[in-house]
Amino acid sequence: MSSDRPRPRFIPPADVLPRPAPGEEPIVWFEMPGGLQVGLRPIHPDDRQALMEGFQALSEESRYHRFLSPMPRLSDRQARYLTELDQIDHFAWGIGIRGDAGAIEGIGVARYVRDTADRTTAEVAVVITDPYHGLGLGTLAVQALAVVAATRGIEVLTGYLLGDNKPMVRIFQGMGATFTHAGPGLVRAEAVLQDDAPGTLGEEACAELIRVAGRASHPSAPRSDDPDQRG
Amino acid sequence: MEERIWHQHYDQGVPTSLEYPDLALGDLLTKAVDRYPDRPAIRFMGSEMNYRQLGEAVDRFSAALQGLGVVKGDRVSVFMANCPQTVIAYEAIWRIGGVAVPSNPLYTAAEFAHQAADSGSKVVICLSMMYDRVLTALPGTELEHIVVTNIKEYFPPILKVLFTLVKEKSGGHRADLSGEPRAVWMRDLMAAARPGPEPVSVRTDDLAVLMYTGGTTGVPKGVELSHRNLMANCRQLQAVSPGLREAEEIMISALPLTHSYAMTVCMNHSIDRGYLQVIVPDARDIKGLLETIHKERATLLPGVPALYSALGNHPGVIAGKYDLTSVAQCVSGAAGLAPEVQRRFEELTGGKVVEGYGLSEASPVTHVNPLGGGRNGTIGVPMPDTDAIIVDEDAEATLMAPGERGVLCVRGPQVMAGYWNQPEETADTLRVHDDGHTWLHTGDVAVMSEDGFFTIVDRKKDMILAAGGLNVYPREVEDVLYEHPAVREAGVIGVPIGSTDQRVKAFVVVDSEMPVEAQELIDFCRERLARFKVPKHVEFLDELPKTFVGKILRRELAAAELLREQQES
Ligand SMILES: CC(C)(COP(=O)(O)OP(=O)(O)OC[C@H]1O[C@@H](n2cnc3c(N)ncnc32)[C@H](O)[C@@H]1OP(=O)(O)O)[C@@H](O)C(=O)NCCC(=O)NCCS
Repeated sequence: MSSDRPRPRFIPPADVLPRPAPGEEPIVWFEMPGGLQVGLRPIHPDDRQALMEGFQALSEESRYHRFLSPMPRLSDRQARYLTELDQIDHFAWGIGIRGDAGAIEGIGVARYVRDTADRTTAEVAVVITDPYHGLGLGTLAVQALAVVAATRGIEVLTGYLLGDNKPMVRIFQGMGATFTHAGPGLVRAEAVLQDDAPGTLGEEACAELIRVAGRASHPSAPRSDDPDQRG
Repeated sequence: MEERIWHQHYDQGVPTSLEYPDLALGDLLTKAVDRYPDRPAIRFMGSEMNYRQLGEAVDRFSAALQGLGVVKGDRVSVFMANCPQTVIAYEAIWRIGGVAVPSNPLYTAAEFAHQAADSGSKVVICLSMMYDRVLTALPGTELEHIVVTNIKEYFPPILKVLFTLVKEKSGGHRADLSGEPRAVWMRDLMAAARPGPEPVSVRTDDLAVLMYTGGTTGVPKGVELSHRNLMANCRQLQAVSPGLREAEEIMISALPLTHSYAMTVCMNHSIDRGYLQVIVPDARDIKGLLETIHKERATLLPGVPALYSALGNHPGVIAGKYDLTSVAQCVSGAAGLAPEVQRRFEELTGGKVVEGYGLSEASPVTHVNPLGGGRNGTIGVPMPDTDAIIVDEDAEATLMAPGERGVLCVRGPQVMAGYWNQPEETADTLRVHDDGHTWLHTGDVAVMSEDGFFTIVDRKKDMILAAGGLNVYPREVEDVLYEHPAVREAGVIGVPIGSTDQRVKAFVVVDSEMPVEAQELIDFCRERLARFKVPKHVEFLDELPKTFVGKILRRELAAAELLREQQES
């Protein structure tokens, strides 16, 4: 059920402009069909403040779709849970764009958290701030997430979503998900990761995503048993 | 209509299709006045009004509304509890082509304000006990006039005096309109009005009602119902109960007339057939209702399961104090009817209690159990001219086979035109299928049996069925709880009580620096929500159960609650 809409284009690191400063944390850049350039990098504890601000910037609807609750504030405890990640069982891509002053401005997050009972399954959540909806960013973020998940031994991605959340239903459908009823108005989507799933982004992009995600989990050097080596 | 599998279950004499004359709702009253001028139309607290008098009051009040500038298509809010003025208000609005916008009498100022503002109502007709709320709501609305009436207006003389002396002040029924140029007493308006309105041509396809209903997420939307929709639903109801005698039946109007169910099933249906409508101001006064049924020898008692259960279990009934054997027919809506409730009430009355189904978007009734061969646990079969299918729960596009669950879709002459000013919601709910027809997607999950009986298995809309068939959307209550500064997390669920109703329960996590009592949160909700939405219980937790990525699942709260109850009992 893949869509025929134009795909984001991967920008190889060598072509990224402006050139990143030495020692700057790596970001994987894509150009969206409309020309918008977005970067993905793993979320880390320093992002807590930005995450809380991003939460405040969401519309009530988006917040409700993400948390299934109309919570107006993110508690400190939750903000920590959502940023202090082990990068293996709980991993998240932060999605950003270049702001006016050249600084990167966060506009979304896509994460998976491995199921404690079934280590081959992980739950997914994704959110894009409202002004950037409908540009394909949600789709890109989930695909990028799936690429990383697959290298961590995750075979199935699940998600709870409101039945009327059409964009998210579409995203899961794109991964061939099945849906089951999970309470009034709620469905649980379950997508078995396909071997060729990374194909939608292209091999080069996948390799770079895996490299950057792997670097977050092992800031020093990759271990030889690192599943990232599977490529 | 084409043959359908369920037609085999229709009672003898029930047609599968009907003729619908090009009538507006006002014509139904005019015809009743012509045919049965001297038959009683309304009885209320012992006073009575015949059809001629009802017709005269409606004529006069419609002239008065014209005097306030109401023209065809204008929206007029009806913020009323059950009393004769409610019927007069609806009928007067319809007579001059106005659009009635009913608001539940329990609504707070904020809830009323939303409906008045969204509909663009120009005038509100309210009871004196709602006057303060209307004043509070006024700034955000386009209301130009407030027509106020006291519930005692149509009391019999002695009761009126008693009420004035004893209950009026304490019950909040006294209103002082001085200082508000937009406010006027209905009584004064009518006294000064011409006896009848300037004629207005009202056609059957004109809009008659904007009925507000919550969506999946609880934000209310105005359902556009035409005269044809509502008239058709009356005729369908009549068709499925062939035994009822024109101008003979005695209807109990106890459920709120501002809700689509009682508006159609009690009020419009009665007027169309020249029945006597006994209006009960408060269905929660079970003893009063029993006395009324007993005294009036009521024959028709539309209700909700909780009402039948409360009536059947009342000590006075158990002691045999009330004779309920006049009751011949009860259509139960809003929630599943438990077999024991049905059996008990049928035994008590000797009449029939059948479960039906509907939604505001369908005027509201679409399904009902045949009187002769109903099936408990089901909502019965579609009414004449009503078609129903089940589609898959994801895309809601693939037809499901009998026995398979899916979303219930209906179509028929009672189905709305759309949601007021909400083209997207409308397109989402009224969808054109491959068969070329437009189907109303109800959002409820149902199964059709091999032979055409329908059963609701789940509500797609997340809502709590509070007492009296009223819906509460958890999100609405959570929104209010989150307004409280101490609340960090909140989850609201319906906890079943008995076999049918649910009571509202809130689970909250509060800021450890800001201790707060459950009662304070309940009071906080009470100031902001209609009474039936206010949590009865608040439980404090250290953290709400969440999924791995931090989503709050209300069903987890419900499951934990259930488990605990089982352990306790
Ligand atoms: C869900 C969400 C992440 C989607 O992100 P997005 O960038 O807007 O989505 P995309 O642009 O990638 O679109 C995804 C699909 O939905 C479709 N779509 C987008 N908006 C739509 C709409 N309003 N109605 C119907 N379909 C829509 C797109 O066409 C696309 O389908 P396609 O691939 O078949 O063309 C975003 O809407 C969001 O943040 N919502 C709030 C949080 C949330 O709901 N999270 C999901 C549960 S965790």
